[in-house]
Amino acid sequence: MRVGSWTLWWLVLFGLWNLLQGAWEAMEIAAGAGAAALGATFAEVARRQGLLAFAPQVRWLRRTPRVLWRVPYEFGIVTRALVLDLLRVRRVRSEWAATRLPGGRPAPVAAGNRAVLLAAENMAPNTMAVQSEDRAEALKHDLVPGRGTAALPS
Amino acid sequence: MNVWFVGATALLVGLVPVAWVLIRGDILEALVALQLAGTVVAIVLLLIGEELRRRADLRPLHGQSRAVTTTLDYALYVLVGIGVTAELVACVGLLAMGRAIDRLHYASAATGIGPAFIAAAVCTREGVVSAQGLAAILIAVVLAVAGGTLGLAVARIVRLRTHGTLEPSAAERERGG
Repeated sequence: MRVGSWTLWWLVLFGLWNLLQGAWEAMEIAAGAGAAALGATFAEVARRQGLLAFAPQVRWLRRTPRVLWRVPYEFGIVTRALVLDLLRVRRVRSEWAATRLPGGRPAPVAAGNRAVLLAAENMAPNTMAVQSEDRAEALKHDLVPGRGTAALPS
Repeated sequence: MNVWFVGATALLVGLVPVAWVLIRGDILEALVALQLAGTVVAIVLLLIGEELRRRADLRPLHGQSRAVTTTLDYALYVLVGIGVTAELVACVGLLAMGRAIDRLHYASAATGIGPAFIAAAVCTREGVVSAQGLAAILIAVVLAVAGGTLGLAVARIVRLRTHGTLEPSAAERERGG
């Protein structure tokens, strides 16, 4: 177990605990320290199993701010689709489609980049996307097709 | 009766269609309903917490019984109103759609707009740099990021259960260009 990595996890988790519970009391601090230690240990075990081999590149993270305006835009799309469906004006005709899923190299970088793209894409509600079997493609499900994407190539 | 309490009550009513899908739907639909229920309950707790804080802040005023509505109150009505309406749209969408994957879009819709507006309302009342304001922002961010990640996992399960594979068909490749 790497002490530096464990300590970093502990600091982040302990900080989150204090931010969320918002009271600086001895009992809360002790509980937070214990919970953060448990969480940091789980994170280290996951890392040792190779489950945290993600190293997204900064230039890929720069694509995610687009999601900020896509979320309200796509919320409008799904709300309109719902209203039209309820009024029986136009039924929802959702569909799956495949698109390429860029990643890069080496493997941890590719995994990190793809995770960033897919998580960002799934924040906007009109498109739900998953990675294909061979990881080279993304399967995206559009509630209303043809309205673009938040992070994936459209 | 105030905007926080009304918002929490409206969302609890909104949980009725979610519970209906949870109980009556198949296993995939129940999973999607559970995802939406988690988001809505988190927002309800945030609203109730703010309401309880508001009550704790109240002090009786001698000789002044008439409540005064300020610009801040109107801003809170609008912010909480939009946030709660967004969550209710997601609840209705979950009930109205026929397939689990279509319902998932509405479960995902609940994690973005609604929590953001509720967090904005909390920050408007308490200030951004306050324990409540920072916690509300953190909750909204966690709901958005976790919603996207959870949506990915659930979409994967739905695809595997309905199509049996994560391999795109020729028609799907053609549609995607």
